Amino acid sequence: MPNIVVLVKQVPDTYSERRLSDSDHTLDRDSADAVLDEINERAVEEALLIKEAQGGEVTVLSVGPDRATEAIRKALSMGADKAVHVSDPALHGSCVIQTSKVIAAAVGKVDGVDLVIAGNEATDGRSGAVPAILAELLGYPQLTHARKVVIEGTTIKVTRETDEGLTHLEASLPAVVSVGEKINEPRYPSFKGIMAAKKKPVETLTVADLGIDAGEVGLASATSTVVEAAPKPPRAAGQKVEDEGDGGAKIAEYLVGQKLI
Amino acid sequence: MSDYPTLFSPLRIGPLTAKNRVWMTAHSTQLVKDHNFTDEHVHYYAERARGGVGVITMEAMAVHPTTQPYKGKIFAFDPAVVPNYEKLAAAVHEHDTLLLAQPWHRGRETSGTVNRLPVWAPSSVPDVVYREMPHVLVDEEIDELVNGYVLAARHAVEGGLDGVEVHGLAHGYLLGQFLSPATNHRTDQFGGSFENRLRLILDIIARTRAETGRTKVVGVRINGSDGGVPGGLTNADWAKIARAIADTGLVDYISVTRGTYIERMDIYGATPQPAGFQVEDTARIKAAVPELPVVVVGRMNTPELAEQVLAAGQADMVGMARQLIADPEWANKARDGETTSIRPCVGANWCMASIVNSPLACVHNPAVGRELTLGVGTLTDAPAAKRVAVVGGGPGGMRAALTAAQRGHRVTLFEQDAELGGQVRLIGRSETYAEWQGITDWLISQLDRTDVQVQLKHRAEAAELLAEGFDEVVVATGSTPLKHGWSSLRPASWGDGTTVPGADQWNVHSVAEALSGKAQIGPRVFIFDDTGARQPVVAAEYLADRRHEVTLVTRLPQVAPDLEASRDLQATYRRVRGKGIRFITDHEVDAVVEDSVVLRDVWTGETTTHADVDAVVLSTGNAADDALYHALKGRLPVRAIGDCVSPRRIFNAIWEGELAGREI
Ligand SMILES: Cc1cc2nc3c(=O)[nH]c(=O)nc-3n(C[C@H](O)[C@H](O)[C@H](O)COP(=O)(O)O)c2cc1C
Ligand code: SF4
Repeated sequence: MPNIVVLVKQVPDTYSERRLSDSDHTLDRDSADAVLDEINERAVEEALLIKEAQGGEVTVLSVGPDRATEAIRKALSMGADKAVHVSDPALHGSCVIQTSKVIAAAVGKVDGVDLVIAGNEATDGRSGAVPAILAELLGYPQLTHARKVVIEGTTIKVTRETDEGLTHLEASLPAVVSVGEKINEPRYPSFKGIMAAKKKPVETLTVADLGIDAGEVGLASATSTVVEAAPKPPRAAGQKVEDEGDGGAKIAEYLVGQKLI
Repeated sequence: MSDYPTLFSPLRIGPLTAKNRVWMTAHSTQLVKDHNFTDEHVHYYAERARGGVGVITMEAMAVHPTTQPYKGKIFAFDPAVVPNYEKLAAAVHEHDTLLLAQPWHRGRETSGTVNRLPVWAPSSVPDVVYREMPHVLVDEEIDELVNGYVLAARHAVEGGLDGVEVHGLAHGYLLGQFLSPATNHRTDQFGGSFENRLRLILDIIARTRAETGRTKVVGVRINGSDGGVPGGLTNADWAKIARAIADTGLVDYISVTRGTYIERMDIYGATPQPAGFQVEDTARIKAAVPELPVVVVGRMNTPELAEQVLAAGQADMVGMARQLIADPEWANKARDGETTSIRPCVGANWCMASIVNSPLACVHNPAVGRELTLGVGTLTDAPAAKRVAVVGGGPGGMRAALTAAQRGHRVTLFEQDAELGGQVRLIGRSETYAEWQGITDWLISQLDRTDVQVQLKHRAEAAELLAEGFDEVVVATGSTPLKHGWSSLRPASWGDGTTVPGADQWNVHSVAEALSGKAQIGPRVFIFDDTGARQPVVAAEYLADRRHEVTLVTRLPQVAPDLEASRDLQATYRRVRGKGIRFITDHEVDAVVEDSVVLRDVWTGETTTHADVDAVVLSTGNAADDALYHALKGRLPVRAIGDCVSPRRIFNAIWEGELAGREI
């Protein structure tokens, strides 16, 4: 009966136009519709599938501004049991290491955690480093980019998928898993799920509640900062290669020119 | 040199030469009066000739009184057509375009209601659409039929046309009914063997050629395949038929199409039928008759595709009907490198739907059938340039703004949303109907070429419009979905401000809300429709594509009966049922109670409760947003168009937008 913590995050809808704020190059969270990150929905779904098969409890954990409650509610509507929400103005502009420290401390507040599930990369920050840093901080094995997760007793088996191919990983619990796009199709919250979510407990914590000094987090002491931001440039026209029997050679020539092969 | 060298190269068709490879295939215009052509016909065909088409085959015409599904059919056997042929030929030949007649008989695919005559067929098998038990043709009647084709050819020659295209083999019509063992159960000289089934056709071709001589063109329209008809003719069968026809040495070209009434989307496939959907079948016919010019058809909508198919030798001529309905200047625009101004055929089949009750129309070409007054070159400069505000950036508002600006007015277009497009943009969010966005994308691209000022995220109010000093205002503010949930069987409830119990719950949405992607919709959805229109099906499919379990409930005896007119009802049912969408007919919503829906049988009054329904989507029509119109009326010259007058179709919005733009 594994106790699972799922990390969720409110992100701007990828359909809407996203901007960084002009003043400090952090995400302008007001300019876009916010939604539960799709990859987090998959993380929640995976936790729920494990719970449905083996029992246990699913806690969602979110570090983010007050608006993150919507993402938390969605995860609870899908069927998670309870939530922990770390919300503190001091967190504004925190880097991945600071954020991971806060998450690690918050995971410590949940009793008897067997498994932490996260999405492998959020659609906003895209650093993709939080699950690994978190595992280091917690001293748990990390099984990232999972496309399949199996729990057998105190063992976890993961099929990891990256550009290099598939790898089969095995570790003992507790562990940190990050899931990829192909892990599952997340469910829609049902009417009953949405109604029930309104009554589920959400514990709200500040960084002080986690025993962290406010000076250790936030933009001022971040280990990385965004110094400049520019919208994605329009795609340049591609180069057309006419195949006159020598298409293969021409493509190879191009790739060599680009130092790709 | 043109970007499309093959497309704009000439081709010999028997004794004559087509100036390019663009062939307008036959399509009914319903501009007919008293079984004859009208002046509207002359303008319709002349417009397409002026637009650069190489060859025009005119709409199918009856060879006999027994083939008359509705009133609007020309009698090609009646000499009264000759003077009109002369007028048509003069108007079309002026542009160096060839003009052909298309004599045909529908056989069993018709009804005897209009003409009070029995329906003819080789054997007594009813058609799926008309369902009328046919009379089995006897020898004397077969002679009459052949004579009808002969008369049609004679009149075409007398009227100065360039020839005839023998029709009736394709689309499951009478000659196709003789050809196919599925519908020809005869045991006489016209049934059984391949030769027997072909006999009548070869006779008609020989007698037609005898009538026209060698100075005119004689062609034949065949199928590339009958589609999925059990026991119907396959692509290989049709290749063999094409070969046999070519072997007579009497035919100058073969035009290839597809399908029968069992699946009409094979004939005039609407979206999502892809571009060039008949190319492969046609290429195999071409391979069977290498010596004859072959016409390919079927959503050949872009010059790129046309050039590619021609250059690859898959066909010799590119046929199109709907793309030339939507834009008669397609050929000239392609030739002149003006492809971005081509108004695309989006495959909405409003053209098909329109001819059921009225002359031909196109969803976004308001000039169809009105070429004389609204066609190319009829736009006049405004007597004085006025400052015009158009409020609402849906298709109607955009059309009004565009037309007014083209006439020299200074136009500001206000749209409260962040994007133009109105409800078309919502429909276009469905993968199946994404192409419909071509309607609004095209309008936006044309607006870009004018100096219309577009103000997005701007909800224009009356006071502001008055203060700004606009000379005229066009109000195109659209409509808002009704969410009371009442069916039209309960008119009294529409006026009293009530809703069906529970229709005001948070989990009850409109079609527009469902399509916006913003409503929170749970896994199991009931959609209730009272309109019979396409929108509930669009929403159902959009949700099913996103893994929702959808039930479509209608108070009508059939889901979306409007799709019958656009001919895609069967194809749509097949597709959406295949996606797991369930249908419940003859029911209205009695109540929504949390996640239960109570339905009432409209005939017996019996109710049934459906549990675990996470969301309800209502399709019960819209209310006109006419507040701005009433606020401005009497204070400034103002016109209302489209849904804010009364919520209707895309066609009406664009039509009224065009008229408003011309009147100012
Ligand atoms: C409104 C309409 C009427 C048609 N009537 C005829 C007809 O009279 N004879 C014929 O051979 N084909 C007829 N067709 C079929 C067209 O000639 C053509 O084969 C078909 O529409 C597919 O081509 P498209 O995708 O370019 O429209 C009709 C099509 C439409 C849309
Ligand atoms: S109504 Fe639709 S399908 Fe018909 S010609 Fe116009 S755009 Fe094409």
